[in-house]
Amino acid sequence: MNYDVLIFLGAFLAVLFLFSFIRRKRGIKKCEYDERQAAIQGTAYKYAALTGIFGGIIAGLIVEADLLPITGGFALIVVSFLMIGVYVVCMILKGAYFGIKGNWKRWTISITLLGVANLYFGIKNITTDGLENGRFTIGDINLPLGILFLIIAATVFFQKARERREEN
Amino acid sequence: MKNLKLKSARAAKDLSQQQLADLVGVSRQTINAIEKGDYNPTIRLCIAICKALDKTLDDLFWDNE
Repeated sequence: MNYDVLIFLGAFLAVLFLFSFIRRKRGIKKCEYDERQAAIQGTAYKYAALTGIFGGIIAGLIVEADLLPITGGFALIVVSFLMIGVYVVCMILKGAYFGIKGNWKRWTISITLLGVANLYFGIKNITTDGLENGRFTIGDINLPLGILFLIIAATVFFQKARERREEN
Repeated sequence: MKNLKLKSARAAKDLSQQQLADLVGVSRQTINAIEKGDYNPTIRLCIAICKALDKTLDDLFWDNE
């Protein structure tokens, strides 16, 4: 049995439990959305599903025809990230991603940091270890993940700047 | 179609979009979307806005033209 994995899992669950305990103690309510935001989330979900269907078909064709140096697993992950990206970006641009009293600054900082870290490790892994058989594999997941997070963060900053212009 | 009646009623009460949003329990973007005519609110939200601005549904949401 791999005890390292068990220790990591235990530590992760302990941190998760601690966070939920603190939230309950402080009386932090879960994120609430209004009626317009809920409606937009439904539309965004539809766009994400369509992206998944068409993206899956295109990715399948690309892998089958060997048009790009990627494996099937990597293509599948990229399509999943694309779905998430469409879902989140659509909601952000319509002001439906953050709840009525959502703390957008804290979330955006976290997303930006995650994006930069993933991008750094993604590029570092590729430059030091190279690509496996000259193809992007599921092990190179950090790179598209970093790009996804940074696109989301950039969208938030763009939308907030637009809202500020509207308010003025 | 823009809801100028809502915008002027809000301005008459000297409320910002955020303040009105807080009063009726929605996001600022939702108030903005209603004023711009991009979103048709439910009757429940219309009533909440009317109560917050001391207006009737006819005053704010009835189109006379």
